[in-house]
Amino acid sequence: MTNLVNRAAVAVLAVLAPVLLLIFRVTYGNRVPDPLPTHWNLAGRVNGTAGAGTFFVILLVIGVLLGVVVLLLVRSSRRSPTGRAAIAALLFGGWLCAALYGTTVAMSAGASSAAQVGLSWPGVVVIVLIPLLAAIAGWLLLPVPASPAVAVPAESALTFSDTERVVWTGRAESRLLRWIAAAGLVASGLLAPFTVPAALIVFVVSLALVFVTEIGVRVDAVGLHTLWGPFGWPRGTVRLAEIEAATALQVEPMEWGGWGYRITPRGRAAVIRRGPGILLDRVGSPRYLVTVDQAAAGADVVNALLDRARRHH
Amino acid sequence: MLFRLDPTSTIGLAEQIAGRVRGALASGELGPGERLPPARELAAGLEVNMHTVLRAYSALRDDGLIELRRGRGAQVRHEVDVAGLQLDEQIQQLVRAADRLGVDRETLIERMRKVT
Repeated sequence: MTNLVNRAAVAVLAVLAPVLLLIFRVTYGNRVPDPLPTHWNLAGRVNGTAGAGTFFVILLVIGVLLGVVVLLLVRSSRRSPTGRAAIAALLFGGWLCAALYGTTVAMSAGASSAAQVGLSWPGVVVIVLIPLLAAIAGWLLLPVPASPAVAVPAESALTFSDTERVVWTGRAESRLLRWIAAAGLVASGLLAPFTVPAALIVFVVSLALVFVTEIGVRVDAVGLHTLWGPFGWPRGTVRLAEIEAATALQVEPMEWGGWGYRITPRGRAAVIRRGPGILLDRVGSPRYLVTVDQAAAGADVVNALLDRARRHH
Repeated sequence: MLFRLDPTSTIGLAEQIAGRVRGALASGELGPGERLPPARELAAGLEVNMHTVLRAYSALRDDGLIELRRGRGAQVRHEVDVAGLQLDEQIQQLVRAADRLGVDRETLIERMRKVT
């Protein structure tokens, strides 16, 4: 199957979920009680309901939103491979909405009140299985993200003598994230007089975002240190002894699962913006990536330090 | 930005740090408004006392090359005189050449005046 056909199939999958939801509404809409049963206790009796109209609208809106996001991601994946896991998860969500609505109305068809509807175990299986199958289908259809071409590091002109003390510092910053964090903090201040819980949530999230607005990198004889945010904390270190080689590459955040500290099958990544970054191959550990300006110079320094360390063995 | 210190050199560590920054400014590697590495980080990486780095940064500030601001760290001044720095480097080389040739300062200045 060509890449285009695969991506079209995933798009169809994304659109199909809300469409099925609509079909169920049309088919069963006027044969179900209102309110609908939405929760059963362990004895099998209904103990939670929702208005039929509300139930339909909420699940439809969520399903459509998730479907739209999948379509956008599939479209952008033409330029660069987008996280398969992200699309699969979104497909799961969209199909979960359809499955929830579909099984609920199918089970309730013909009943005159919510209390009459017994929990149908096949229905539960459908709710669990169908979204899972949709997610797996999406996962299998999407191309496996290719590892970034790791160019063999060019012979570096850099050589450090045994007595030299060496330090390389680099930075990366994201104006966009800075604005978002600032906007969030302001918004939380404005919300506070009206709704404290929402204001608190927005405040905490914006505060967390501040730590992702800039990154500092320091390379020295100990290793490569990553310093998060304007305070240089939290920080992490990849020891030189663990590093096999360093390369510079162009980082596409979506290839590494997004922004922030990412843990992906491709490795661990500290990503705060699209652009140059240093990629470290580690002995017996996943690769580590950090977005930083002048990445080629930084990688050069890492490799020269490795050379110096190896000369001693 | 790369810093390489030679502990065996007769030139003090603080002086080497300051000299590296001056060289970077003269060559254009560092531009007006750019930030220098935080003193704490530079000291940790070079395994020197933070005061050594601060001495270097203070010297650079006294020369009008950088600004030290609380919370912002060390930053190259926007009005830094790059041309002056480049000229200073050339003058250093000239003076050293004159020393090697055994020409004293006064004679050097005289000869410079005679240049058309």
